[in-house]
Parts: sequence; C-alpha cells; structure tokens
Amino acid sequence: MQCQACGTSPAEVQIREIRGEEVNTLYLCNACAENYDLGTSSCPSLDEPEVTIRLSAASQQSESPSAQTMPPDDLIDDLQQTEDSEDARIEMYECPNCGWTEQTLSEKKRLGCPECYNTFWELLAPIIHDWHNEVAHKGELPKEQEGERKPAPPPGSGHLERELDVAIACEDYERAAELRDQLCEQENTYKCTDQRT
Amino acid sequence: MQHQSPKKMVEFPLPWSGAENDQTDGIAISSRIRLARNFASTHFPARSDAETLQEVWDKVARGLQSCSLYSSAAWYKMATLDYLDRQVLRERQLISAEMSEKTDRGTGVVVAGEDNVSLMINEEDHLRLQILGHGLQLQNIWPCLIKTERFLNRIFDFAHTEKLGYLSACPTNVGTGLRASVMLHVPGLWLTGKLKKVYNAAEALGLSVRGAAGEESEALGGICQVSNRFTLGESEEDILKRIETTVRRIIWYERNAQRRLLRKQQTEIYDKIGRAYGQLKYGYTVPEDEAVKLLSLVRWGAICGLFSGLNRVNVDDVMRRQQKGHLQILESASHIGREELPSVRGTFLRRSLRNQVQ
Ligand SMILES: [Zn+2]
Ligand SMILES: [Zn+2]
Repeated sequence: MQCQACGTSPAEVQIREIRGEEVNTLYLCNACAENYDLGTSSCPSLDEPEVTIRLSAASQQSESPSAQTMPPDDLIDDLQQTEDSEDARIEMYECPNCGWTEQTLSEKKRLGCPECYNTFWELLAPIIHDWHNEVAHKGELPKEQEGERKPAPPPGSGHLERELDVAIACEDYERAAELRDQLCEQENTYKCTDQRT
Repeated sequence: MQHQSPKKMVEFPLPWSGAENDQTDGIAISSRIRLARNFASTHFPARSDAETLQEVWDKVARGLQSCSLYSSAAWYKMATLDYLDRQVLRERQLISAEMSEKTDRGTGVVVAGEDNVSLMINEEDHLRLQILGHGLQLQNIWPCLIKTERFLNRIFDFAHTEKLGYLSACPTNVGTGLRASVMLHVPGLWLTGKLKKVYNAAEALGLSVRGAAGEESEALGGICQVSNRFTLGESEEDILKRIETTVRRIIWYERNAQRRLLRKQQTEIYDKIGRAYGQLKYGYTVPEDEAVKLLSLVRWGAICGLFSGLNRVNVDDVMRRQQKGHLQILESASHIGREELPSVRGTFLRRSLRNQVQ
C-alpha cells in the first residue's frame, strides 16, 4: 500500500485520529508521518483529536493494494489492468441498456448509463470502496414519502413555446427554427381539425 | 441579473467578492458547492447522441419554468458561445474547464441569482447544480442549493439506488454527488514553505488541496482550494462540516504563520510586498501567473493596511480583471494574439494601481 499523503513511498505508519465518534485512519510513509502535525500539539485544544500511531501498518493492509489516493482517471486504468491480467477468465461484459463495454469504460473513464452500475458492479465495487472507503450512501434521497411526485411538465401544453423562448434567449437559432416549424405544424393541425368540425 | 452575453458580465464585481461578515481576515476568499444529478432513464452525456442531449436540455428548460430561482435566469448554449464568452464564464467559476471545451448540441449553462448560481447541462453529468458565496460560508449557501435540488427532485426522476445514493457518470462522484470547496489565500504558509505540509495533512484527512485553476494547478501566490474527495458514505452536512473544520484549522495556521513572519521578519516581508507593488505599478509586460503572485503579496499588504486607498476588495477586483478573458474584453483587445497579452496586462495594471493609490 502506498502512502496516502505523497502517494509515492510505501506506507509504513498508521495514524488514527479519533474525534468523538469520528475516526480517521491514515497510512503514511515515514517522511510524511514526520510532517504530519495537523490536529496535534499546536492545535486549538477544542477539536484536538486523540491520535494513535502504529508503525508498519502497511503489512497488515497488504490485501488492498489499490488506490486510496489515486486520481479518478487512474481508477479506471486500474480497472483495465485487472482486466488485462485476468482476461483468461473474464469475458467481455456489455451493458444491456446502453451497450457500453468494459473497454469503452476504460477508454472513456466514464459509465454509459445508470444501469452500468449493475452491469459492471463486480468491477466497480472495489474501486468505489477504495475511493470512498465506504459503499453505503448516507445522504439525501428522493423524498417518496412526501406524497405524490409532481409530474414533470408534460411535453405538450405550451412546452414548445417555452423551449422556443429558451432557444431564442441563448441564440440557438438553428433550434429556434426547428421549434418554430413544429409550432406551425401544430397550429396547422388544429386548424385542420377546426375545419372538419 | 440576466446578461445577453457572458461578455457583459466582466463589468460586474464577482458576486462573492464582498467583505461583509468576513471573520477570516480575508484568508477565505470564496466557497462553492455543486451537486451532480442524472436522469434515471437517459444515458449519461458521454453515451448520448446530439438528439438525446437536446432532449435533456428541453426537459430542463420545461422543468425550470416554474422554479422561482431560475425565473429570470440567463441561458447559454455552448455551441453559440465564442472563446471569450467561454473564458469569462470559466473565470467567474460558472462553468468547468471540461465544459468550456464543449460544443455539443444541448450542452450549456443556466446562470441565475446574482450570477452566483449556475446549472451546467450535459457536462459530465446531465445536471451540475452549483452555488458560490464569498468567504467561508459553506453552511450558509447549502440551504439554497439543496432547496433547488429538492424542487427539481420533485419533478424529475433522478438515477439513484438506496445503497449508492445518486448515480453519476464517474464513480468518484457517486452518493451525494456533492463537491464543496473553499478558496483560500494563505501567503504566510506560502512564504514559510509550509504549503506542502498543509497539503499532505489535508489529503490525509480525505480532502484535496489544489491551485485556484483547478485539477493539476499549483497554488500560485498561496491561493489554493480545499475540497472533499469522497462523496459516498457521509451525509452532505457532514461533508460540509468536515471541510469547514479543516479550513478553520488551516486559517488558524495561516494566522500564526503571518504573525510569526511579521514579528520576526517584518522588514523583509514589507520589502517583498513593496517590491511586488512596485513591479505591478511600473511593469510593462506581466504574464498572468506572475500577476497573481505579485497581487497575492499586495493583497496581504492591503489587509495589513500598508497602502492608503487600496483595500483587499480593490485588489480582488484587479485580480479578477487581469484574467485573460476579462482583460481582453475590458481593454478592447479581443483580437490580439496570446503573446501580446502580457503587455496589455502591464498597461492595465499600471493604470489601475495609479488610479487606486494616491
Ligand atoms: Zn509519503
Ligand atoms: Zn449502461
């Protein structure tokens, strides 16, 4: 495991910062551990954490060799490497919803659609775990219980006018022309029905 | 404020440049929070064709119709913006670097509030809602952002799962989709060579510190931003609190560093600041990174009260206007080549420092 501060030297020191309920665990190389003093002696005593330092934590952590401090792009490179080294037994997954494959995933460094999370979960789980240290969400979610979801303004009833306003406002004249044509068409249809009645 | 073109924004001070309620002696410059959201039944932008991107755009245009915050917003499509428009939006932190390169149909930004609220459409994610505020005020700007998000959440079906929270195009944003950052001016830590130490310590706490210009940039003149790395496993409020706690501690370090410098090496420090001021006031060609370093020192001098008639807000305003997009528009130099910029900047700096100081 690499040092979480510099990312280059192997981690040799484990530092645990404990503030009430909150525990931060760091793995640092010796040099970075020496520089580590945020939150120690010179700090306002109010939020001074309890710090425990353990040497040679690296060996205990050797099972997760990956990426706690890697930048996002490397994450998926990492994924590609895993794939390369094990390609004998991993067949190419393809997302049934968007057609994204493992290869597009590693080229574009992005997922293709929400369903990709299911499709590539086995590959993504360790990455997500390493990056965030957690795999359980603890934040906002849509509030289903607060009664019925207000439906999005339906396409229809004046939406073309609204889109036209926006197209004109941002000088997208190509789109504005399209919308104007559609509006004309709509009006003509109404006229036709009028005449028939 | 609804500007016909982003270029029109350059005359206005940054909405987060005020000095009211600043309890950090100008050390915290600005705060920013953004949320990433995606529509459940639509491919992410990288996988979408032009038609789908346009549909997303139209859907947002319809949805925001009834949102009071966006009722008088300005809508800008990237395809209709020229280089300087993009540059200005970027310099005012309303779009990302990635966005400023885009030309796809249905890609753009909605700017609302006092030009401190923006919504990027079809950047990496379908929606990136953002709010900016001056100084250290993550907790104060958050309610407005989440209120807008909840409004949108009632009318749109955002991709999410119980376990992973909101799903984003990149797994590093999954969960809350929240990235918050605070821009800091820490000349004391910069001059005492302690920045690296702060970087490492903050990084070890799960935060990242980088230069003002984003991703790989260095902290020019001790101007840096602190932001969260993780978006999953911690609630929005906890993320904001954690950043704020660390930022307060960095501010505390900075105050100590400043005090120590002024106690032990006052003459040397004032000399540095004075020379920086002289270079700005009398220089003829000044590249942007040099201007930022010099202005950073002058900013500290202004905070220390070294210059009569030049306060921190004045310096921040010069800092804003000397950025290349703003500069080219304000100096009517939109068609000059890159190599001429330093001399245009030199002229601008000489003039603005002459005007502001007797
Ligand atoms: Zn290290
Ligand atoms: Zn997919």
